Amino acid sequence: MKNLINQKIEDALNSAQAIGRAEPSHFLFTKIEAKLDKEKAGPWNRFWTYLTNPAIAFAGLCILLLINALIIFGVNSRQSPQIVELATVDEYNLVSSTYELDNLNP
Amino acid sequence: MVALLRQEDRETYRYVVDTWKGAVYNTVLNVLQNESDAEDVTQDVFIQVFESIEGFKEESKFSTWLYRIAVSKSIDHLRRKKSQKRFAFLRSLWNDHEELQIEPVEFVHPGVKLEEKENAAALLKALEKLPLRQKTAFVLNKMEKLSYREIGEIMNLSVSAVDSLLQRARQNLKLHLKNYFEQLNA
Repeated sequence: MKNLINQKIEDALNSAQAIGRAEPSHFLFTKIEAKLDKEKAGPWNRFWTYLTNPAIAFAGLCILLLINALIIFGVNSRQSPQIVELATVDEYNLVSSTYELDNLNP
Repeated sequence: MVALLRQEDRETYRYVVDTWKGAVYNTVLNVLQNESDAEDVTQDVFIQVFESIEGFKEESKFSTWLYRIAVSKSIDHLRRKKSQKRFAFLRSLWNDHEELQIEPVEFVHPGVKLEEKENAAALLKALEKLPLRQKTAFVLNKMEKLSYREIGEIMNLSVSAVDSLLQRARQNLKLHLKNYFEQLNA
């Protein structure tokens, strides 16, 4: 049994000599030329191709929305103290007018 | 020829591809054991050759430089594929609906004769398990029939280092083949 396995191992190792040549695609050069021409098309073309990649476009859209959200919430939080301030002024006027009414009578 | 390549002469490009496509494709195919990947990497090898021809210093033979690029691209591809598999596996842990893509278990080399199919399949399976450098050296020596000296120039190793690498490759192959045949007979 051991001899049989050893023989099989040697046969397998020697089969490397029997592995013939595989042929690549007949259109290999055409494909290479196409890739070379694409790369030569220029940096702007490559940049545009990169930008229109769905994953990149989606990521860019998310960043844009995030910036918009930050600006909107930033503006809203600046407005709030003014409203509080106006409310305080209203309150003050109310208190003041009550005081005036009370002090009308001698 | 190198001068014409530097001038981006398309006819010379065609000549280079026609002359060396067999050597490049078979080297890449035997390392990657995947026909589709081998086609892509072969294209990348020639593109790299044409784009970096200015960097070819003519200190070594053109074929040595070509093989060096082929080996380097093949190894890069295998490493990229390994990390993609790892990432896909991690993604599948979080997403039950995503199915892991399973690679075909057995690669059938298109150049194998029918009568040697079983032995070659066993050898290629064992070859897959070798460390990259041992695998590369074995492919270049046994399948591309390159000398130790040529392999040394391609892999930037001394002749004795190549000899040592091939001996370790052979030992490991015997071990993997032994396990394979013992399991088959069990």
